[in-house]
Amino acid sequence: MDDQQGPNEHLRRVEVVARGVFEKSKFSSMPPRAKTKIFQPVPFQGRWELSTFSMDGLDSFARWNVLDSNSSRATVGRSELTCSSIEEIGLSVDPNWEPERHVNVVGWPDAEDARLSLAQALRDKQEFILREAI
Amino acid sequence: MSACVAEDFSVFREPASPARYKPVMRAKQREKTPSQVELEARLEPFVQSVYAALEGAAETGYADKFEIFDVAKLALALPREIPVPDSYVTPTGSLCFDWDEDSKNQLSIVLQSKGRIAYAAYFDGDRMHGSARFGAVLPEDLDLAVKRWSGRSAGAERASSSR
Repeated sequence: MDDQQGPNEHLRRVEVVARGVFEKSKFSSMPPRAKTKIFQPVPFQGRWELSTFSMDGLDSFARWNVLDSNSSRATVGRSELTCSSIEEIGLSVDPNWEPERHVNVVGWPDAEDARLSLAQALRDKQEFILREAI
Repeated sequence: MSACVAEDFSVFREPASPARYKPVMRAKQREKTPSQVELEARLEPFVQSVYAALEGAAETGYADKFEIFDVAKLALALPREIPVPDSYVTPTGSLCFDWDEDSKNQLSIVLQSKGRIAYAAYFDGDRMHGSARFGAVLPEDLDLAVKRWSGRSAGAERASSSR
């Protein structure tokens, strides 16, 4: 993170977030990209949330570490989204850093068809990184 | 579809919950007519993908909001050529079918409770979505989206095979 930032600056400014993909069935292979179901939000305390983690300021190794440490399963791929692409389709990011680097994507409508449509748009806007075999 | 097949659609008419589908179909095996066999062959891949989705959601206790009869209705309303979708149970217990191998050309249909469906299509940034009560045929805008999706998929396949 930039040294010029204040102590809670990360809560306001997030640029890139990622979702971990833990099963091969959740990404298409040619080219590898996470599927739409990865981008479907879940209901939590009266709103719809898509759970992601901030990747800002991290190299690739550290990015895998963040996703691995927040899951009981091995991460086989990660799907990254820029916050500008999220905001472009009418959603927004809500960083709560609980746990560290956790960011919710919020602003989802209640209608299932509208949420589905936004998940499709996120699928197209992602950058997918397949983890190399260890 | 032939009248004979439509009549034999009764094999799916028992509104079994998804959890009860397998035993019901096993019992029906003994009573099947030839046209039911044909119908079942057509629906088999679709139903298998639903089984996989239900197994995936088994621990959550979801998936009791729709009826297998609606799955059969939906499968029969779609063009024969459409590939088997990626099926899964959503966090709200609906059954979702995605055709999303190509991120620029996506189609999703969700079977909700009480015979309703929700759907969305994405064509390289061009989005459409809607919901409706589902009868024997697709809502008009979904029907158009399915045709557009199928046309683009066929075009992409032709382009890839000519390379």
